[in-house]
Amino acid sequence: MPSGARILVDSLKREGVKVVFGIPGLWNMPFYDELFYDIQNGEIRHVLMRHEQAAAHAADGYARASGVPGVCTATSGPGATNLVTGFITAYWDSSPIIGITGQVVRSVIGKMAFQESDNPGIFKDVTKYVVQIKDIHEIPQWVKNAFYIATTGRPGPVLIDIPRDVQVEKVENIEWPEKPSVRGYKPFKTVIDPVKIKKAAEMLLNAEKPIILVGTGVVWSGATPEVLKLAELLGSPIISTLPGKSAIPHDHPLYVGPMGYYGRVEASMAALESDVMLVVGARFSDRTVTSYDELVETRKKFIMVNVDPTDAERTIKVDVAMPGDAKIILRELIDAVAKLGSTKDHTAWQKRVKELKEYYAQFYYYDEPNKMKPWKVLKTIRNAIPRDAIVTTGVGQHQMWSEVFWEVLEPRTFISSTGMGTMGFGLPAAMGAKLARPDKVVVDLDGDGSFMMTGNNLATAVDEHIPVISVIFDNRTLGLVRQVQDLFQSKRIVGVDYGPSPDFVKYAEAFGALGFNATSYEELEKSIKTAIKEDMPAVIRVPIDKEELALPTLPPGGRLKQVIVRDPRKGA
Amino acid sequence: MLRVTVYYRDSSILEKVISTFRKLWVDIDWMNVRKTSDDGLYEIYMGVRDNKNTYIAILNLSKTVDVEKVEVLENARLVEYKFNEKGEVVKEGKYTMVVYVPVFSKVTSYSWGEVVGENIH
Repeated sequence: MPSGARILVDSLKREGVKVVFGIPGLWNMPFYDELFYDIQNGEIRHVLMRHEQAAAHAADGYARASGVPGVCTATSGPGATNLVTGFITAYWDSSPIIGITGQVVRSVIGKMAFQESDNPGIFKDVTKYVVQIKDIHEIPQWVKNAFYIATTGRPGPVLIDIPRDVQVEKVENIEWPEKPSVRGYKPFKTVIDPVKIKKAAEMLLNAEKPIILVGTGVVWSGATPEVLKLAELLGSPIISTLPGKSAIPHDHPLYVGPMGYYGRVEASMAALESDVMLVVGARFSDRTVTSYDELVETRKKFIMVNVDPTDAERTIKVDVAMPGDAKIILRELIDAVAKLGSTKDHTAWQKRVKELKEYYAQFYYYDEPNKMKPWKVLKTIRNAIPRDAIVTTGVGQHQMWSEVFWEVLEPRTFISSTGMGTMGFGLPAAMGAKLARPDKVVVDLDGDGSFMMTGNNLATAVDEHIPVISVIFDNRTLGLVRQVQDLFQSKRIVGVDYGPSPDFVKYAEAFGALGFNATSYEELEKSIKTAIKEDMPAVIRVPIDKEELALPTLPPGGRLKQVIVRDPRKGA
Repeated sequence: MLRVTVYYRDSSILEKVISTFRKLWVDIDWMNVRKTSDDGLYEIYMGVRDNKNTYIAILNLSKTVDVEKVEVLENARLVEYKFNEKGEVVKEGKYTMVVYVPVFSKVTSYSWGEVVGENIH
């Protein structure tokens, strides 16, 4: 007779799960006891993380790199609560992860039992769905449902909480469901409305200055070819949100860059100057559009393609809203554009965007002797790794530099915590991405502050032989906070500067990873190539001046037009 | 005024309904919840304050797992009944419970972010 834990493992296998990131404890131990056999025979790989937050981020990195859900597990109490940051991170970035938490036995639930945590209560607002299993017979159906909920509509995290005694209980017969069954759940529909498609096509064809803004939805629907085709048909520039960077190869001549708070100015200015904006798989987040009034005042027309129909209702009045899967709707739009005929000549508009690019380039690419400049560091890394290498980031100044300067050359190769801005995301997400795509070089672009929040998982990378490379932009400060204090809080620098600890080379070596101190671009390139050749986890520390700013930026609450492109401390 | 039809798995469904409004700072004046079928269908009548976030909260609630639909009861007014401790309706004097009965003439139904029905009563 199979136990609940056995049924749980088999249910996960039926969903195609190959890797589980987690940490065992008293309340998920029966699950581990059954995983034992599947780990032994190589059907499932367990990755023992050093903190549950990292287990969730690793599952997230796995999901974003592969397109299929990542799975993590933790025990009840502190194990489960440690998952919370990882789950809200995945939720805000629409990433499908599945969590399995152990729970205290049914008879003591709600009675302050040892390590009890109210997981349904705790996770209900940081997941797409959380379910507590009350009966062993529910396990197969709810595992299937969890994967269905996580991957359909707007993807998102789902948590399954299972009391220990349900895991231990045995049952004679088990029914395996053929399909999901969730009452009160409907994946968003794709609505092909010929009238709207035609209207959108006409608006785009008649536009003087069309622009396409792409977001994460393009990545999840695999709509990159359709975006490029439509842009080429229209001669329309493409801009993106920060996570939308991952959708478009940056060497495409029509791609301008990510717009927004720390985005490329030419992308933000092109967004403002455009007269028709087609938004695909993106919402108008406050990070992309810092002032809704500023965008509305341009009196442009908006067309929105988004899987979630409510995204067109939130902030800006959308002229044509087409809810649904980006790939399907863009194909219809491409057909309509092709059928309606020739577009207006956009040569002048393209020339204007090129002028913007060239103008703002003078502010980006300046060099200083005896200093490692972030743009040049990123260019060195880009040149040293393959075109299809995957990069993750932590959160901080290095993430903003990556937003502006990192060149994504293949879709789904840029993974970052963009909605929640979770420091410590980079290393575990890179580990997850590497396990999802073992054939790819995976580099974590990180900051010293961000890396140290989950850096202990380097031990797991070494133990489990997960050869990821962390490049640490080491400025010994929480640079993004520091620059706000410096520029906008009268230079009152408080609570941000670190001392000399740790020595990142020794830190890496203590874990058994390779450690490099790259004090020149040549050393950086050599370190990366050595790390790739040695096929080992590596940490490459790159010294960055504490005074270096993440530019372009805006004053707090500022409009896109108030962008700061030069270091204001150095005068006009 | 809203009528929310939900599937009950456990009482966290009420927390989910309430927190959808809490997160957008929309105040709830009253709720009336009852089970309407043996397979766990529940009906929630509630009065929420109208502010700039209310519509977003309604859309968000309509795309919450376990929520079948959210109906906005339009042209609505409340008929108030007061009950004493014997369960009798009282018009004046001491009462122990107040029940609000919505009376409305139009219903707009939302499911997963979309309008799925408009009915005149």
